Amino acid sequence: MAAPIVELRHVFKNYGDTTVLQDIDISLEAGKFYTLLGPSGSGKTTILRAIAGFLSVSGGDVMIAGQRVNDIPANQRDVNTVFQDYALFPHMDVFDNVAYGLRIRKVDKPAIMTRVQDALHMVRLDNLGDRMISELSGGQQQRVAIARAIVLEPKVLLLDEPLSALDAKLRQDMQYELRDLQQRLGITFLFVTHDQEEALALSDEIFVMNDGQVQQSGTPVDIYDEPINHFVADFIGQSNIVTGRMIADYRVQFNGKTFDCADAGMRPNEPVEVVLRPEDLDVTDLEHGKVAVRVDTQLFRGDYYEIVAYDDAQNEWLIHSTNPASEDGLVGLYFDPEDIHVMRFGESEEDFDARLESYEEE
Amino acid sequence: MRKFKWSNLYLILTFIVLYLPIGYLILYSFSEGERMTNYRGFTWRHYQELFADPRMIQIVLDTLIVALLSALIATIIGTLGALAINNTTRPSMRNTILSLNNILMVSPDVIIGASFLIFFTALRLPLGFTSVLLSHIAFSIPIVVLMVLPKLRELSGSLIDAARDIGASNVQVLKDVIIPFITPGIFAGFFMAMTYSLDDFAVTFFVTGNGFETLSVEIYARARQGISLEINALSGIMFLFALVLVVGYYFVQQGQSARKTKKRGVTR
Amino acid sequence: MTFNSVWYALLITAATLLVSYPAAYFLHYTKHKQLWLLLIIMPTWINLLLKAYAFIGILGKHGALNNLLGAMGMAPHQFLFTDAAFILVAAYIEIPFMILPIFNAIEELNEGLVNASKDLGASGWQTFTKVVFPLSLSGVKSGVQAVFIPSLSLFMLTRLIGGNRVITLGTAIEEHFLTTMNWGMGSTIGVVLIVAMVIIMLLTSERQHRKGRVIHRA
Repeated sequence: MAAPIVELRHVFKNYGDTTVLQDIDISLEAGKFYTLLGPSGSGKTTILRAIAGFLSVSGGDVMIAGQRVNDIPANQRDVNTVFQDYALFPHMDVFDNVAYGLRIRKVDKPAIMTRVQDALHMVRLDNLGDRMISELSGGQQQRVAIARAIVLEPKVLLLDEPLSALDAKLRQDMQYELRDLQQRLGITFLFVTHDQEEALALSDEIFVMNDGQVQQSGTPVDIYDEPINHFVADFIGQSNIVTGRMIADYRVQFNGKTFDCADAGMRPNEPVEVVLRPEDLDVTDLEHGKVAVRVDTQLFRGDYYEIVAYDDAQNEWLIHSTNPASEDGLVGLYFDPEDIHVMRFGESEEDFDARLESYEEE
Repeated sequence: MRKFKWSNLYLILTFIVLYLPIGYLILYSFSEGERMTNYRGFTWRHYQELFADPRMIQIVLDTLIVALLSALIATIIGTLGALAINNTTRPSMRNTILSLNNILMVSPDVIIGASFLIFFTALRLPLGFTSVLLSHIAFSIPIVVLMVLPKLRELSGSLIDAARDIGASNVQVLKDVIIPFITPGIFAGFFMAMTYSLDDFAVTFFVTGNGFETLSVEIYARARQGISLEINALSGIMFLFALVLVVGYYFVQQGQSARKTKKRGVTR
Repeated sequence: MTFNSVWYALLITAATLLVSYPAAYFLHYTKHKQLWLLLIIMPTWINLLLKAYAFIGILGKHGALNNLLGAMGMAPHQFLFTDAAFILVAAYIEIPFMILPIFNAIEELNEGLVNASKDLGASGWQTFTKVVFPLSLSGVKSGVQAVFIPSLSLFMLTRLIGGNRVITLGTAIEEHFLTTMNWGMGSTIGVVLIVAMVIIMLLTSERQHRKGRVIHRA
């Protein structure tokens, strides 16, 4: 594994009595697309600002390219930021906005010319150099903000919820473009968002944040399929979460029945939470179903039906089904053993990873 | 429709009342008589007398110099002050300064004038040009602060962060981002300070000695002695001056917004 | 004298408000608002003393007003140097400073609220009394503040228009400082004036500061 380009070691941040970051350990490799995902107030933007140099951390080390940068001001760090509100200088035109950083670095004129044009070409804004910022659409302003940052050829580009001000359609287009841009530039992107779909679609690796802590990190598939706790399971995608009991390895009990599952490595009879994704539940008749539920409401969502049903214990079940169910009817729910994901209470990410490795190797 | 007409009538009446005294003044500046009664036929005589009066011209020049100088100095100090207020992180500190600033703004000028009189006398500073200039600078600073601060507030924090992120030093941030952004506020502050200085009577009246006079003080002295149509001629010129400024300002503004909408029209 | 001064300031403020509120309200509904607004502001750029001086001509014994009344068959009357003249001229001078903050407050008012009120069945007058007026009160307060405090201290007007009949706090201060040289007494009256100012500011103060509030010195 190559040396990390950005590393946070035991980073703390508090304002008086309020802790906003606790013991953050993050390491970013060169050339990958990372996402900090979490609800507002979870500390994700704080991490970004700590790396950019807009706030000093209360403890721990911030390392960029192997060098401790805690005391290096923002204007001397080799990272650049795309701001949520773009923060484009309203009194300069597009070209001057992009050229600003190069002029500060005293790059000579012809070089500025070519580099700004290259950057504008990169974000597909050729020929708009002499426009004022107020004359651009939101999507165009977004691109200028990106061009202004990448023209300086930073090792890491920090993006602070850059798509949140765009409408849904433009947002999707920009997601493709960002991913494409990152691959063409080959530099590290650290992307902050509260939109889990965006994070899943774009990232090589996601850090899920909550309460100033990294809850779980991993590839989108890992995080979706094997959430570490209730928060992650609930925040990423939609989930049915029920409490249960681990009878033995590969045997879990919930809803008064015992089921085969794919999880192991826990104490016998340990209380656990069980996650079942709505799309893993199949609606079938009562005989074939593993759980019996009564359909309550059903909404047509285009590519699937979203069904809300209740079992005898009044647990709510959310089901995504390609076929409609009969309303108010009793139906059975079927799922495979590997659709069940079991989560322990209060398990740390290290223990979680170790446990998964221990039985997956067998 | 009927109600609409009534409202227009009311507005027009208000404007007539507002402009009637001014019109009356100017009308009599062309009157052949010596009093502001019974218009007696057209003449430029009072204007000629005005321009031939070296004392009057000196006073006009002094007034303009005090206005320009005090506005300039107050703008510099006020802008720096606004920057400093904007940089204070403690809200209590900032609010205290702002409250003090506001108190200066609403204080009656008799109070400000009397205070400066006491102050200059205590310092044994002779009353005259310097005392008038200093007091004008002092009462103009809060105005400039009030005009510049809102622009500074509009300046979003991320804009400054962005400049620093790209590599700008503190001086470069100030020079390339902050100052250009707040320039309209600085100009407005300068302009307001100048207007206040030109218009001031009470403060100047207190701190001006015998040797130095501004227009306001001179008009007061003459008006107390009674009617002199030379003053009417002077008001005619001052009205013209204000009119040119207003019309110019209006067209500059209209031009700006028209250009903006036009450009927007092109891009969309 | 203090009572008199406050009483005059109250009368001036009330007269100004009475004229200004409808003007500001109607102004809101005109086309070319910016032009009208500039026309309101422009008289404030004419030196205060010139405006006072104009009234010496208008209100004088042989002035325009008496000529007009004479044409209607009334005997000439000395209007100058009366209380009424002082109040009239002071109100005239302060009108723009009252119109502007009220106008700004009405402008800031969301037009949707007016439509909502009408939608809910209120008549034009009900909408005005229940929605527009309460929401424009902040502007009225700013205006009162901008008019009342200077009205306490307008000493040149009392001299030029009120003769020496009207004595306000401002007149007294000017006299003690510049004529009788009794600075102690002058300062004491100054303190009274400051207290009056603070009371007015407390009465009309508001949590949020309005932009476009016009504060002026007279």
